[in-house]
Amino acid sequence: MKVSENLPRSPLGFLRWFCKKELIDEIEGDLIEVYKERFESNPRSAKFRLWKEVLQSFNLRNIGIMEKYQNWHLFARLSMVKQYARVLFRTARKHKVYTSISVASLTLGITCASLIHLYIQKETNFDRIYSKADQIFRINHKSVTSGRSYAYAPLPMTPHLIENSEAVLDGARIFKYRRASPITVVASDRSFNEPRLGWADANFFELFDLPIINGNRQNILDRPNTIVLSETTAKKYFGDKDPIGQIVEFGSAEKYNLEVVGVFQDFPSNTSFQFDLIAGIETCSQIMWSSNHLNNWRNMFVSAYIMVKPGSEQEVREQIQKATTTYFDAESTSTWEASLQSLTDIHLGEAMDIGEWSSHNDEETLMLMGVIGVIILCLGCFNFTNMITAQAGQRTKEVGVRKVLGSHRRNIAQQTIFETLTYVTISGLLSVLLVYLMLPKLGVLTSHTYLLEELLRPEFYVPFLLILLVVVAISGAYPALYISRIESIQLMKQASKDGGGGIRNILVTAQFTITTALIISTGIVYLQLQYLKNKKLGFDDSVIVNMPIHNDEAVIPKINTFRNELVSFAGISNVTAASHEMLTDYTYITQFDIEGIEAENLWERYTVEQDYISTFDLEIVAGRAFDGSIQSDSTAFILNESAVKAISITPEEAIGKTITDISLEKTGKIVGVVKDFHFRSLHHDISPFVMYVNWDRLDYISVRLASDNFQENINHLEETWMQIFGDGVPFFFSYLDQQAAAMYQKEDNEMQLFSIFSMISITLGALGLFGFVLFTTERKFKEIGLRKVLGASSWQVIGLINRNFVRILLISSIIAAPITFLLMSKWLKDFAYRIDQPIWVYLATILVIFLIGGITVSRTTWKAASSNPVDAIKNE
Amino acid sequence: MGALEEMVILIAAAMKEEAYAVSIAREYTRRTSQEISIPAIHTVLKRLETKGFVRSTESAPTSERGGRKKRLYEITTSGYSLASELRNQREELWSLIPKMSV
Repeated sequence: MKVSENLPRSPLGFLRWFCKKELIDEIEGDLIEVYKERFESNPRSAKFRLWKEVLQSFNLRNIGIMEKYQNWHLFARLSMVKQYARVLFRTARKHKVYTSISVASLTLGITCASLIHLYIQKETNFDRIYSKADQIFRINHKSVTSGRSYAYAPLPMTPHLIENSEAVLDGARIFKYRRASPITVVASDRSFNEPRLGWADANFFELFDLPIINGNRQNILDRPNTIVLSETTAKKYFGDKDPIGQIVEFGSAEKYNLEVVGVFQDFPSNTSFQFDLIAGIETCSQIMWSSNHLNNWRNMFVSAYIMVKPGSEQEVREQIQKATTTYFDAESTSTWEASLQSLTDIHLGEAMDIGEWSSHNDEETLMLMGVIGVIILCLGCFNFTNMITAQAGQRTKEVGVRKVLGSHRRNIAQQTIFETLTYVTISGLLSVLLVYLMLPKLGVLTSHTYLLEELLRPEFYVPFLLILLVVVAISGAYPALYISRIESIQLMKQASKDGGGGIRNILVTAQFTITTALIISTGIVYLQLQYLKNKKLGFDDSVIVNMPIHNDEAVIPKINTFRNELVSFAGISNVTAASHEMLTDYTYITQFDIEGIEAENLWERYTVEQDYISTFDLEIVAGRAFDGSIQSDSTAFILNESAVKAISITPEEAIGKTITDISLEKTGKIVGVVKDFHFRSLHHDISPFVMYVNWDRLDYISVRLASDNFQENINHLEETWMQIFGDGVPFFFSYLDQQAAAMYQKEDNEMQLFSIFSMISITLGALGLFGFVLFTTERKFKEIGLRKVLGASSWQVIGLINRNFVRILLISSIIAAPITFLLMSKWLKDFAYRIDQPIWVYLATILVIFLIGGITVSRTTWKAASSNPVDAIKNE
Repeated sequence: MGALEEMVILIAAAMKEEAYAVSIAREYTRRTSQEISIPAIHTVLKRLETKGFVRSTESAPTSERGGRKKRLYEITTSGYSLASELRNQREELWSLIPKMSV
């Protein structure tokens, strides 16, 4: 080893730092020379002795640190800072109100901006936790005939591509059953209803490399009849016991044993995959589908993800299209267009009509949130700037004296920047505390989980510090320039000149414009939501409970017994069953042929039991409801008004026509037409819809309860269930009206966010206005005194002070109203059913703003107006 | 003047090759079989230099010293006379000591 390259750096670096310049050659040279000599015999002791000798050299004779920094005037500078701090402390104590308003405003602004930043970061990092995320694509298909897009690919597509395409490196299918699945833990004999069960290819965790806590990542689901659990689910099932090798049962009537072979870390909240349990898709095929299901191109209801060699997306897309055209179109009544969607684009990009799992978001919403964050931050800064410049007017004397005594303009600016920095640092610390306290609430509002350690990651604190810097720049720059510019003579001569009046007016106006806009928006969002919630769904959703039965062969033959048992009980009026849950977003679309009509009708359908219409209280507009006593009704069909309209006939003409469901090959007569009702959520228009009783499967039992004695009715329901279906079929239920409310969860959260923003912004606005008026009043203290002496009444004085403030609020309202109108029109467009923007919301908001403004300034103005003029005039 | 200072000034005067801290330390160790640290020599040399008994010049930088210059010391006339004075004092004293068989 050559020594020269390996001179120990730290002792010599230290030596160079402290040593006097003229001595460094001799000392370092000598030390290096003996070090090299010693190194030959014993490297370790050589290094040790070098350290020792460097430290011995660290004596007064050799140390030259001071001379090094002499040119920097370090100590002079320190004493300046000390002086700045003293002045700052005195000013803060003298103007307690201004100081608290400044710090409170900055803290609110920074906290809001940080929270919004955290949220946006979660959303933009959606699905990016997987190391191969950039290479993974989802295969989508769009029906050319119906125009509907599906997030699915035919089942054999993925293996076909892996085998035949060089550019497809890997791929996995995952199927999510749209109903909750019953799972029984054998060891403890407990049953659970699991809505988040997925069935995936064995290599799923290789493609999506979520940490595996227990088990082997490679082909984890290779063996049939195996299952992996999330950490939470494993804990729920087995407590602290080792879950590996345990058996769980899937299914209610017929049960299938699944062996637990692994535990994966819970999926984070910001990924499309939200599963608690994942089992093999081959197992799924064996249990639920026919044997050849996986190889049948007809089956398109499963999501497929493939990993594509970078740069060959176009080539792969063409290969998929070719396979679709060759194999799938032949099996389908439609032609299909295949497309690839990047995994990272699924959450914020284009949403498919059918088959999306996670809540979708769009970039515009995020952008809006970001803009709101910046605006609120600016509002906070405005208040701060206002306070500082307002104080500056009073501190002109101080600045004047400083300048006369020889301060440069730069020194004055430095002092202001120093004060800003101190305030921002204090506010920053307070904000961190607030953000920490707000994390759980943010989690609820945005459906994400935020962990404390996320605050310690550079992804959070680097932008956070940047925000602080921006705040210093925004709120410190103007005062620094403004204050330091004032000429000293001018300062000395007219000590109490009102500084920065123009800019303060503009800032307060901007604040109130934004506040007005936010309050109006909140009002309109609220009204729209109320409208949606109160809108008649077209059926009676009160006190209906749905129970999943999973087309269970043990349940279906006994439904009639169950019904007869239940309706004899006073608290239960109707019992029915259907293939779908009311308001579901998942419906079947099939082709219907109608006698004498030349159209290809792709309509949605439920298969139902005969008393479906009476249970949900649907309104018949022509013909009649299903009737159990009429023999031919076992094949009867009922349409909705939209369906009749779609084929341009009147409801009456439709009665008696023959109709055929092409895919299920069921034929019958139309016996009635129902008034349109919302079988899907209100985000969707009501489309043509068919119900018929010749069912192929029943997945839900719906029961209407009397509106009183809730608990008793539910108890009776459960007892009857146990009595008739036995313990083998678990009893689960959900309230339909709660489900209806849950559909608007996203909008509900949006509204809560809007209200919070409005509240913060109005607080900031009020704080700003309060400071503003306080300042104006103090400025005009003497003027008021003189006016009063000369005979002005208290009311005239109040008018004098408030004239400016009324003008500001008027201008704000005039600017805010049209902008808000445009923005809200755009937001409302997303709803199929929406309100017109009511003018009264605008008027009420403006009134509220004036009230709040009035209340804010009243105390100060009243104090000024009712004060004894003598105090003002003698005050010199 | 202390014993170490005297030793250093004598070594510096006696050395045929360049006299600088490292060579002086080496020579010191050879003569007395005692280790001495370089900073200790530096301290002594600086003290002697301020008293005017040695003077120093800089040599060209060399690579084995990490590109640093040496500071070479030589004895001044006042240093020489001090040393010889010390020697005379000692010899005088020695002559007064009665002979002992060692």
